[in-house]
Amino acid sequence: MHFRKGLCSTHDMRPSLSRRIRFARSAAAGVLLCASFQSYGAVPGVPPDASGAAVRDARAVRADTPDVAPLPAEQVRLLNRLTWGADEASARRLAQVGPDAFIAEQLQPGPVDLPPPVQAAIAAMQVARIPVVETVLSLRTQRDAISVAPAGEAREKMRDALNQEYLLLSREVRQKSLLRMIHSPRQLQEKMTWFWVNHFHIYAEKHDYTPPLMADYEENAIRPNALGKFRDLLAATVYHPAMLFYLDNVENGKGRRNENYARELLELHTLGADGGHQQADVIELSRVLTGLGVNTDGSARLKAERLKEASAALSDNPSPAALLSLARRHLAGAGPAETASGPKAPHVLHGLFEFDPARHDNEPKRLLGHEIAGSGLAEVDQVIDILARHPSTARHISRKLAVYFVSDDPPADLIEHLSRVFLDSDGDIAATLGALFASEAFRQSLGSDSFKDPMQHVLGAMRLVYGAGEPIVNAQPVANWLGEMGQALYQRQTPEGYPLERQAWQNSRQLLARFDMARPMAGTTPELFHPFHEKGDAPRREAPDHARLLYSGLLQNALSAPTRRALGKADSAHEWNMLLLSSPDFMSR
Amino acid sequence: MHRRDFLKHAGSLALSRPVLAGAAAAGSLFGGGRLLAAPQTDARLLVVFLRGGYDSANLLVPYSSDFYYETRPAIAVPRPSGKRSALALTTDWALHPYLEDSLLPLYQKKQLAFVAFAGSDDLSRSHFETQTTLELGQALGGSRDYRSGFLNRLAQELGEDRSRPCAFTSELPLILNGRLDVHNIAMNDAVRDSPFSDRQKAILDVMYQGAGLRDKVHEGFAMRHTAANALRREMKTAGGKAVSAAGLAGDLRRVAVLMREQFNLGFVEVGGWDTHVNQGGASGVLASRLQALGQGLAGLAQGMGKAWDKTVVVVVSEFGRTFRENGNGGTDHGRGTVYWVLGGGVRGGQIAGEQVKVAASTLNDDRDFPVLNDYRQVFGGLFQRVYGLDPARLQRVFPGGKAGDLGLV
Repeated sequence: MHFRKGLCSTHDMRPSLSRRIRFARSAAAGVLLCASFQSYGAVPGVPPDASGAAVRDARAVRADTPDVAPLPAEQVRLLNRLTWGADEASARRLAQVGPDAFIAEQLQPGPVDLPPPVQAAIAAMQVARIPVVETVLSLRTQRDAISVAPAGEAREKMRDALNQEYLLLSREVRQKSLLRMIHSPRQLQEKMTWFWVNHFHIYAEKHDYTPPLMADYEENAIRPNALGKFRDLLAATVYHPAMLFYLDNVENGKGRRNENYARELLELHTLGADGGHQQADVIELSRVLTGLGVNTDGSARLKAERLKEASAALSDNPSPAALLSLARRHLAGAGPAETASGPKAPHVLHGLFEFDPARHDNEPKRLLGHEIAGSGLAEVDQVIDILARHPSTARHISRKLAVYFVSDDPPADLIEHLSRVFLDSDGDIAATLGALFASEAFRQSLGSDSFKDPMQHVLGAMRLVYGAGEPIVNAQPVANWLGEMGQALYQRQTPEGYPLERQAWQNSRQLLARFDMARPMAGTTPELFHPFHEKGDAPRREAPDHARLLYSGLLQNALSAPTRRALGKADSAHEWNMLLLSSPDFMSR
Repeated sequence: MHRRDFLKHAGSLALSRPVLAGAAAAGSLFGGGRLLAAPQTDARLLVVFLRGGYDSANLLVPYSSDFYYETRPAIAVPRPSGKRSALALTTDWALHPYLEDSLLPLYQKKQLAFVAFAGSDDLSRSHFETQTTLELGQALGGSRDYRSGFLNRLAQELGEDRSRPCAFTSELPLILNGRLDVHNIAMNDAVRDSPFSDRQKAILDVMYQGAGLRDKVHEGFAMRHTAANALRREMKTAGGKAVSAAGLAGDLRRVAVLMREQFNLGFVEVGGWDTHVNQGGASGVLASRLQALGQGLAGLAQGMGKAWDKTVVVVVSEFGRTFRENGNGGTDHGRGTVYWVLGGGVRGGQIAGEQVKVAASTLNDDRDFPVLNDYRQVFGGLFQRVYGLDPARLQRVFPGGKAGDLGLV
C-alpha cells in the first residue's frame, strides 16, 4: 500500500504528468461533530490588554476613520515581520500600544484563541477529534486487512476507502495549520511554529501515517515549544514518531545502522553543516539512536512472553483479550511507561514511540569529545543536552533566525550577539528573539523592503483582504495557492525545509505565479467561507473592501506613490484587491 | 457594496495624476517578442523521468533467460513468436509488443538505444530518496546541497548564452533547482494567457515603473508569451491537432514545440509506474502505460522536425523493480533498471553499457537487477559528447562522479 507523490497503486494508473497531489474541492468523508462554540475572550492568566481579546475587539472601529494615527512605514514593516501579515486588528493594536509593547505581547506564548466558526471547523476534523494513536492503529488495521483480503472488488473498495481517508487526513492537517496561522492573534507564535516545523522539516508523503502524525507533531511537539526552550523543542522532535519515520530511524538498529537521522540531526537541526563535527560523530550518534522507533502494531510485535511478564501484575492467567487491552493501554500511553526489562535496558512504549533495547547498541560511544556510557534511552537524553547547548547550535539557530527576520546575509556581530543570548539563557527562544528585535540591525532592516516568501504573500493576502469580515473557515484554496507558488505545507521532499532567503524566491517564475493567483485571492473564491466537510456549493460573494479601507487609514504610509495612483483607477473592490496583491509593494514585507 | 459606493470610496485614494493608459501599451511589462537571442548551441537535451520506478524487465524483456519465465509465471511477456509476444531486438533482449508502432521503428532507424543494468548507488529502495539522489547528482554518504540539481549545474556550465532550460512540470523539480533561475511551464496549462485585461495591464505597468522587480516580471511574461504564441502557431498548422490533444500524447507534442522553438534543456516527468499489484504482462495496465509513453515519444520525435537530428532524449526512472513477481501479480521496489536514449543523432539500435547474463546468480540481493552503469556515467558521457564538456566541468556537474562514456552519440 503506497500513498505517495504520484506513486499510486496499479488500480489508479491514470496518465498524469504531474506528481503533485491535487486536492479536490470538497471533502468526501468529512464528519460533523457538534462543535463547542467557546467565546474567544480573555485567555486565563493573561491580563486583558495582553490577550487576543483586546486585539479582536479593535475590529469594532472602522479603519478608514482612525482614532489613532496612521502607522509609519517602518512600523508597517515591523508588523509584517512579526505577523503573517498586517490586518486591521494587528495594525490597530500596534498603533495603540506602540512597537515595544507590541513586540513584548507577541513574544508571550499562550493558547491559540480563534473565532467560533473557525473553532467549529477545526473541531469537526478527524485529526482534532480522534487521538493520533487511534487513527494510526486504525489505518494499520485497515492496511493489514487489505493485505490478507482475497483479490477482487471488495479489496479494491477497502483500498479506495483507505486512500480516501489518507487524502482526508492530509488535507485536514494542512487546513488546521493554515486556519490557525490566518486567525490566531498570537501571530509570532504561529510564525515561529512554522519556522520550527520548517527547521525540523518532515515530508508529509514519506509514510502512510505521516499526515495524522504531522497534526500531532505540530500541535504537541512544536507549537508549545515554539517560543520556549530550544532543548525542549529538540527533544520533542527526537522522540516524535513522524520524525523517526521521516529520517529512517525506524530502520536504525544494532548491526544494521542507518545514519540518515544522525547526519541531519547534526547538520540541519543543531550544529549546522560547518558545526565542527566529523563523519565519526555521525556514526557515533547513529549508534546512540539505535532502537528508537515507532510501534504501530498494537499487540502483535510485543512478544507474548514479554506481555505475559508485564501483565503478571494484573492477572496470573492473562487471556488474549487481557493481553490486547494491556497492549492498547501501553500504546495509548495510559499504561506503565516501561514494560518488562530486556537484558540491557528497559523497553519503553509511549504512545506510538518505542525504544527497543534489543535493537539498541548499548556499548560506550564518544560524541563531539563527550564519553557516553551505554545506558539505553538515557544516552539519547544526554546527547540532546550536548547538542542543544553546543555553541555551534547557538550560532546555527541564531543565524537562521537572523536570516528569517533581518536579511539574507545578516551581520556577523548580530549573530555573535544572538548566540551569546541563546547560550546565556539556556536556549530561550523568546529571549533570543527579543534580542533580535531590539537590535540595531533589525531596526535598520525595517527601513527597506524585503521580498516575501509564498507563505507570507498568501497568508498576508488572506489576512488583509478578508481580515475584518466574515472569517475564512476553509483553507483548502489557501493550501492550493501555496502549492502553485512552490511552498505547499509539508510538501518539500528534502529534509532541509524551504529556503528562508529572499533570493531563493525572488524570480520571475514566482512573480508570475503571484499574478496568476491574484484574481482568486482577491475575492472570487467563495469556498473560503464554506466549511470543507460540508456538502454543497458555496454561495457567491462580493469581494470585500477591507483592504482598501485599511490602506486609506492605518496603513496609508505603506504604499508608494505610483501604486497609490494606479490603485485609484480600480473600478471595483475585487479589482482594487487584485491590483494591490499584484503590486510591487505587496511582493515585499 | 455597490459599485458606485466603491468608486466614491476609491476616490479618496486616487491621487493627482491619472494613469497613462495609452503610453503603457500591453507590450512593455507583459511580454511580446523574443526576449533573448537564440541560444548558441542547437543541441537539445530532454530528460524524461518515470516517477514510481517502472518495471524495466517487461519493457526490455530478457527473453533468452529461462529464469525470467520461471519467476514471472503471471506477468512475463511471452518469447517472440508472433502476435502478442515480445519483439526481438537482439538474441537476448526483446521489446514489449505494445511498442511495435512507436519505439520499434525508432530502434530500427537506429535512433533509440537502451542502457540495461542502469541506476544509482542509492540502496534505500525508497522512491523519494532515490529520486532525490538521482536529481541532485551528488555523492552519497557526505554532506549534500539540497538546492542544487545536476541539470541546473549543467546549465550553469553551459553558460547563459548556450542554455535555455525549462521544466515542463507544474513545479520546479529538484533536478533543475539551483543557482540558475529556471522556468517551469505546466504542460496542461501551457497556453495560459495573462490573468489581466489590457486596462489592468496598463495600470500595473504604471505601478512597476521604476520598481526593482520590473525586469523579472517582464522576463517572465515574455517567456510565457513566446511559449503560448509558439503553441498557437503550431495549432494552426496541418499537424496542429496533435498539439492540442489531451493526456500524455498532447503534453509531449507541446514539449516538442517548445523544445524546438524556445528551449534546449528540458525536463518532463511521467507518473503511474509503481506497479505493486496486477501490473499485467503482454497486456494490462503497465502495457497500456508503456504504449502511451512510446506513442508520446514517437510523437515528440515527429514534432521536433529537423531539430530531432540534434536532440537527445534520456528516459530514466529512480530504480528498477524486483525481478520476481510478487504475490499480487505485481513487482516491488528494486535496483537496476533500463534507461532509454533517443534522438536523430543517437547511435541507436543497440543495448549499450555493461551487461551480465540474467540469472538467479547475478541478481543483486537475490532480488533485483544489479547496477552496472551508473547514472552519472551515462549522463556524463552524453554531456561530454553533446556539449564537449571537459573533465573539470563534468566534475562540477557530477562532483565525485566517475568518468564514463557509452558512446551513445
